[in-house]
Amino acid sequence: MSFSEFKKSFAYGSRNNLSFKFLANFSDDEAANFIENLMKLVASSLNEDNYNEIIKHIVNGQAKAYQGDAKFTYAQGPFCKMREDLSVSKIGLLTSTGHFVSGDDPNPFDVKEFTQNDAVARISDFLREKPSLSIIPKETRKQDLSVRHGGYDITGAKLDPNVAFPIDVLKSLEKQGYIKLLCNELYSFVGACAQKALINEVNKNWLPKIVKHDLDGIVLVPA
Amino acid sequence: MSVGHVARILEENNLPTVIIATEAFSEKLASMSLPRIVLTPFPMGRPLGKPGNYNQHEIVLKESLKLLKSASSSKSFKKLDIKY
Repeated sequence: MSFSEFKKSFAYGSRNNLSFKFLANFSDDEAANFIENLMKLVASSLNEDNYNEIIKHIVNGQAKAYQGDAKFTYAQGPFCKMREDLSVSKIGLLTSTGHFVSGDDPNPFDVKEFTQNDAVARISDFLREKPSLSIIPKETRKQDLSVRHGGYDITGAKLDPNVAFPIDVLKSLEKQGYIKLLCNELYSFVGACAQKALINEVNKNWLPKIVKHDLDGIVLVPA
Repeated sequence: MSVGHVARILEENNLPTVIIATEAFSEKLASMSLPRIVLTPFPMGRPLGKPGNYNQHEIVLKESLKLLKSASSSKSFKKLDIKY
C-alpha cells in the first residue's frame, strides 16, 4: 500500500476512521507532517501530560483539511433580530447530528435495524436523498436517545448526546430561569443529504412544524 | 452545509438562529453569510465539548444564547477559547 492509499483509507476505506477521514484532503506531504507531529506529541505524552496539545493538533488538522471546501457561497444573508430577553424567551433546538428517539427510528431507505456501519457504508446514498426530520420530545431521557450518522465519528455523541444535541443543558438553563422555556419538540436530522432536497423539505414540511411553536430563537448544531 | 441552509430559511421566516460548530466548519459556514455563528475549539462530532463535561457544555450554550440575543447584524461571529 502506498502512503497516498494509506492516508485515504481512513475516509470510508479499509481503515475507516471518521475522526481522521480528513487526511484524505491533505497532500501526501501535509498528511506526513500531520502524522509525524501527532506521533511526536504522543511520544512526549509518555513524559508529560499534554492531552490538550494532542486534541489541539487534531482540531487544527481538521480545520486545515476543510479550508477552501465551501460549496455554497452567498454574498448576503437574511438576519432577524431577537426581540425578547433570554429570560422571557422560548428557545428551540435543531441539529444535523442524526439523533432520534429509540423506538422511533426513521428507518433510512426503509431498512429496519439500520446500523451505524450501514450508514457509513451507504454515505453516498444519503448524499443523494432528502433528509428525514426526527421529532424529539424535550422530556426524552438521554438514555432513550439514539444517534446514527455516516458522516462523522458518533462515539462522543453516543457516550453523551449533549456534546452535539444539548438537550439536558437546555433543560437545565430552563430550570435556572436563564431561558423561560425550551420548546417541547426538539429536532434532528442527518446533515449528509441532498442539499436542494433539504431546502425544499425545510420550506415545504419542516418550517410549518417549527414556526407553530412561536419560538423567540433557535439553536442549530451541525456535527 | 445543511445547517446553514436551515438557518437561512428560518431567518427569512423571522426566527433568529445561532449555530454552534467546531472550527473545522468555519470556512464553509462563513461562505454562507449566516446571521450568528459560535465556533468551538473542539474535535468534530463534539461541538459542545467533551462527553460528560456538563460545565463546558453550559458555558458554550450560554455564550451562544448571549450571541443570539445581542447580535445586531448578520455575520456575527464568536470564537470561544475553552480547553477541551
